[in-house]
Amino acid sequence: MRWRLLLIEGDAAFNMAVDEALMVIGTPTVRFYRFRPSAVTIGRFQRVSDSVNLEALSELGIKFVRRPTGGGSVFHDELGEITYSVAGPRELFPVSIEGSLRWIAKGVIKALDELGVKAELSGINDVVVNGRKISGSAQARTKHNLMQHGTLMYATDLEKLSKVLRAPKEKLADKGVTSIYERVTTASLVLSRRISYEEALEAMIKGFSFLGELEEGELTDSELEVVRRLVSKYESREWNFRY
Amino acid sequence: MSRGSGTLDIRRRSRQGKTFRVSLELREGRVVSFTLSGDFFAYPAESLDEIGEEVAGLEPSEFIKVVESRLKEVELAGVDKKELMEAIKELLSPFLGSHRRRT
Repeated sequence: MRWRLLLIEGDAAFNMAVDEALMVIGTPTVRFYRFRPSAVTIGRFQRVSDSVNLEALSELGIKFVRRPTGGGSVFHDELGEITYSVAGPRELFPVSIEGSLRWIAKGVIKALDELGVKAELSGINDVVVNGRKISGSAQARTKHNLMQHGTLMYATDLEKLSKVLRAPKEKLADKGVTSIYERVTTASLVLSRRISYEEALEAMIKGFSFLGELEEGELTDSELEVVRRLVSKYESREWNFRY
Repeated sequence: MSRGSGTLDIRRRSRQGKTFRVSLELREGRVVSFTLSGDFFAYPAESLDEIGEEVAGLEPSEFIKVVESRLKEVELAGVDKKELMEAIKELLSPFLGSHRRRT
């Protein structure tokens, strides 16, 4: 099967607008991108006060945006994190939310394997290395289409990440740690060498080739029109502070 | 908190490792607002907002019935409907008790 490969990237609102547009239109697509500048995304159903440290965000000049997908808060470090998104008609994917989350996240595990990192799935949407989270995925659906996006932390600034994200005490206690810092890692840390963006991107392209042939393309005019409409939603206080 | 009025809030860790929070506001024995938040997944996403709108004005026992019924149309991942309903019932138990005594 042939998938369009998109490498278009921008700020947080633009990135979320593109991913939602991919879901709305439903052309089989694999996208890799960075958040430029760095940003935080929170899950569709998360409360702002439970998921991010607004004071730290303000001090660091980092914006947050509410995703169209469920799941938890994520720090997207412009210099150390690559995000993937996969979209297409629902019949291309396993039926259940859990099944499709895990199936698509295989791409991240294969990408990490390309880099020399042995990773495994944990829970319904995390990828871990030696018990530490290195990637998380989230998914949204329309009646006909599905879109899943997720992270790969290849060199994320974990101190900054632990400053800007909030995790419930119960979640940390469950994992036997006292701060987010203790439960995350990056490919660079695991391999004890700095992984570059280009290296991470190449690994992701190879990793997600398990889906089929990836052929580089662009957004269509109709997709761009949807993106233009959605950017204002993702920039709005009404959407971002809805919970 | 006056009888039948107040803000109620409960946080739970689901068996699948996600967190969810139920927030309810009651005034004079009726639900004014209901929000379900957390790092779980739900499809269709809008359904949770719609439930929140539909339950405004209901008494607690009726509220529970409506939420239970509407959740049948929602696919959840990361939290199951049973543990969600348990949390809601626990949160509303003082109000369900007084409601039963009155009737």
